[in-house]
Amino acid sequence: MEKYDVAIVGGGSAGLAALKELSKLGLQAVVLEAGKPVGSKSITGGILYSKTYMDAKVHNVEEVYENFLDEAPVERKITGYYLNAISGNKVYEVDLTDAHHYQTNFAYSVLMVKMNRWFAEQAEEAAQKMGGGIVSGVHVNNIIWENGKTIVETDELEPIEVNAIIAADGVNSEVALMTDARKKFDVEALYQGVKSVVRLPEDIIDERYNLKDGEGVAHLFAGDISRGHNGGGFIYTNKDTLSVGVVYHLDSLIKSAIEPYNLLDSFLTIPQVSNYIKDEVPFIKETKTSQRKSNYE
Amino acid sequence: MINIAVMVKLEPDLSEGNVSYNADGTLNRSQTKSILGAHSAVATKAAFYSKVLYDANIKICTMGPPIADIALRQAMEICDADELHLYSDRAFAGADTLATAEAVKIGIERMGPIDLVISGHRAVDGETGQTGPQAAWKLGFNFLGNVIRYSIDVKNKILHATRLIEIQGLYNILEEIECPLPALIAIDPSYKEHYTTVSQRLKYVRLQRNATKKIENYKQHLKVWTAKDLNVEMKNVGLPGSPTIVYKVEKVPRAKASRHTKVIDVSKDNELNDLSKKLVEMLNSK
Amino acid sequence: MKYEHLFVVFEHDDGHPANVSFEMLGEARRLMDVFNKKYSLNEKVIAIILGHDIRPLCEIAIHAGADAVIFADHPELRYPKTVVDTKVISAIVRDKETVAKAVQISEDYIKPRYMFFGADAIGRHLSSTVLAELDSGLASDVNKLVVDDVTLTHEHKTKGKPEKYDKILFMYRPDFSGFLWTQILCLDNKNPEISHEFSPQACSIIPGVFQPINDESRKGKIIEYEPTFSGKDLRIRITKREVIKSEVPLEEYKVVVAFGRGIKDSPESNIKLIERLARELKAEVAISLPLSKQPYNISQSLKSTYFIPARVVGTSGKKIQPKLYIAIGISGAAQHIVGMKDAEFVVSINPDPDAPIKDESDIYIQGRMEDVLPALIDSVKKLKNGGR
Repeated sequence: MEKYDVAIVGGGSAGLAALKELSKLGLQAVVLEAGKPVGSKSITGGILYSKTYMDAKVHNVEEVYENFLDEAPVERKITGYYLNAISGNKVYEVDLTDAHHYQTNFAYSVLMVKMNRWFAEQAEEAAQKMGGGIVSGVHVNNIIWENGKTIVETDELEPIEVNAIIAADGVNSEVALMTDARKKFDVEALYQGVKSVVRLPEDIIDERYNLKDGEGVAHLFAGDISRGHNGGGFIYTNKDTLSVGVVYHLDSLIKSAIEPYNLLDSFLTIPQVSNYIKDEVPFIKETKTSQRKSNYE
Repeated sequence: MINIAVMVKLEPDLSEGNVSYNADGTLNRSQTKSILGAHSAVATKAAFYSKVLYDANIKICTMGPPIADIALRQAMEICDADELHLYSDRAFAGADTLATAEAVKIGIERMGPIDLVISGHRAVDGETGQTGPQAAWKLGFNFLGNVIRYSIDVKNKILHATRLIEIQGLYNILEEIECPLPALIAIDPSYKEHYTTVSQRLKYVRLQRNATKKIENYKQHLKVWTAKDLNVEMKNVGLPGSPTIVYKVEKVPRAKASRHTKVIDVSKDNELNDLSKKLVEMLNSK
Repeated sequence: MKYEHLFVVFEHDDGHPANVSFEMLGEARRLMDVFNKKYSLNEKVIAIILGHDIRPLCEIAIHAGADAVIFADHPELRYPKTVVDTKVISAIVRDKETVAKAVQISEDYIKPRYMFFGADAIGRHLSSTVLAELDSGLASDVNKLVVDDVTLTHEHKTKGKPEKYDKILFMYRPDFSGFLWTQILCLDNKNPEISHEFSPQACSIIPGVFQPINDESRKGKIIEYEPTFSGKDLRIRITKREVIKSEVPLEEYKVVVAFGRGIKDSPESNIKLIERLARELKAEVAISLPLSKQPYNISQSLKSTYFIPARVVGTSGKKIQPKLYIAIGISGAAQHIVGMKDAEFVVSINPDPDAPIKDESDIYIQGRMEDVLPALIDSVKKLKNGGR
């Protein structure tokens, strides 16, 4: 049976970062990703942060990927962060930019599929030097411990023996369930996000949001927009698109049984929101939903 | 070390957007792009399997005009080929399959020891499917056609293949067959890639990356051979070496109508209803 | 004469004859009757049958039009193996002694005049290697044959002078579009610089085209040939063989809905419409040959479901006889017609007022499938639901 140091299940940004780090440490690691290509099943709002906390250590993206600031396909550097509280047809805008910048090295709006593709290229290059890499279109269906060995089984390929497994397959981790490593989350602990990416020419974004030189802004929306549910909406500026979405507490959605795309639609039609995105040309028609345990968009 | 040769061909690109048809349904060759033929691409993928599994050395060859090197480049991208060979000479022009097979046979003999030659099922134009088996015969290699899967017993130099045999009016047969190398196999369009381990998949990706880099300088790996370079017998290649000629090309005359045709207009409700009735009737009948 | 008689390589799998064998013999019979009358000769149709326990096939071949049969019966020949069969067939046709037992041959007989093979998984390769061994020319996928004399001028073959060739087999093969006929001739090089006699003139014949005959009153000589095998040949071994079902068993369906290049304006949504119609009629879906080459940019799952060889109706694919055949966006190239002409009832939908498929249709609807199909689907649905 083939043997590898680490199997990383899931090739989203977490799994790919793990692959890069482990390869740097000289280990032979393999990402097993069910989707094709790798990273295409990820979804995010989203904004990618680099932080320096006073009393905590994080591995920032530019430390994991040394060439991040020079080469990564980021969208815009977020220089403004606003919360819009909406009541009826009134809106109260709160400038949270300073709070947003606190302990932050930088923040960039990103499109995750594009970003993951880049992460994958970097991680794979590093991994291949160690005899590891990324295998996509492969679904892990079982993990066995027997005779002191750990064996990972998949639908498509012959099983492999590993010394460690990293479950990077998201909030609804199958690996966590398979191995009892973590019990399933209660509904109350989960959020549901829905987003759409709409096309808007770069110069119009610059003009409408008063931006220049690759700057970007993030707008959050709360209040009447959520129709009595717990949650809110967001608009992030990308280079020539906008990420527009809503995030809600899952339990509140279930209580009054509403489809996520309806929430997104109603968000988009709010006059204060539609002003920001008018003339938009949606180019990703379907929206994906994901459940996340996270306090960040 | 396993040495593999792949016979490929530059053919018209029949995909929508690239192909151009005349009003009468015939191909407008001058307006249609040329690319690595679809079956040649499958044959190349099949060769790549040996590179991943056995670290095989792959040499791609084609007989054609100077621009046929595009086909070789595309093939190199698919299988991370080690050498590209183009047999190009006015003397080869007009060759039918026997004369082509002769030129290719000599080309392959000049490659040094070859264990396995892989050819496609047939070209999208021409479509005879003869050149592969005829080259095999001239080389004195074993020949297996309609191969949908294969593997090599490297130690004993034996080829194991799975063949799909479809005969009209009879059943289909799946056959497992083995023969000693050297051999030539014609790959069936139903050939499916079959990588079953993590290491094979990783190697696949690694070699593909390598190939993408390599084709930027593909000409460094390309050798163009003239008839003189190959030292062929001139009377055995090209038009002189072709037993067959194309005598005439004509439109297929329209066959006489064999049924009495009723033309209907579905915008007329009664005609549409009559038709649906007939269809549902046939569906429900025994 | 050096080159005489028409040899037909009879195809079968383990004693089960392929239809094309009868079709070839029927055409061979007709061709040679015309040939003998035209040239006042008495050349024969000789069937070659290789296999094991295949003696009963010999009479069958005579009834189907052969004048004589030369067969080789040996366990090693039980299943077709290109290399082995090529050697045996080539040996037979060049073996004066054996051929003389079956038919009358001239003193100077060398090789056959003509040879027929089936254009299928067995015959297409076998014909290639046999003709490579016999060093002569082969036209593949032929659907019309004529014997005639011809005078022509060819830069190489006749050194630019007009030369007369007689008893030439005109082999007509359709091109991949189905609309052009190429006539292939296999001719000697009369140019003294490259002088070469090319015989036999050979072709592989498209299944489903020619008419078989079955005349049980026919009689003929049946001669056995003892094959020999080299050690090398014996190392080609079949280790397993199983009969399998086609990926798409079109022949099992009462209703077949087929589509062709007419989907091109919006391939994905048109395929969805076709799927709906097929669902309503409990039909299986088929395609015309050009689509098996995957010309359209559609989703991978639609491609791998529909643009596959197993769904092709036509000479390169399946020949079916459904009760109802609906051809959507198919122009009706000859090869396609061969595959569906035995359908009981044919409905065609085509924007062309007079596409070739009209000749093979009982009902012809001129229109774009985008317009016709939704109306048809709704109408059929309503009818099935009791006209609600």
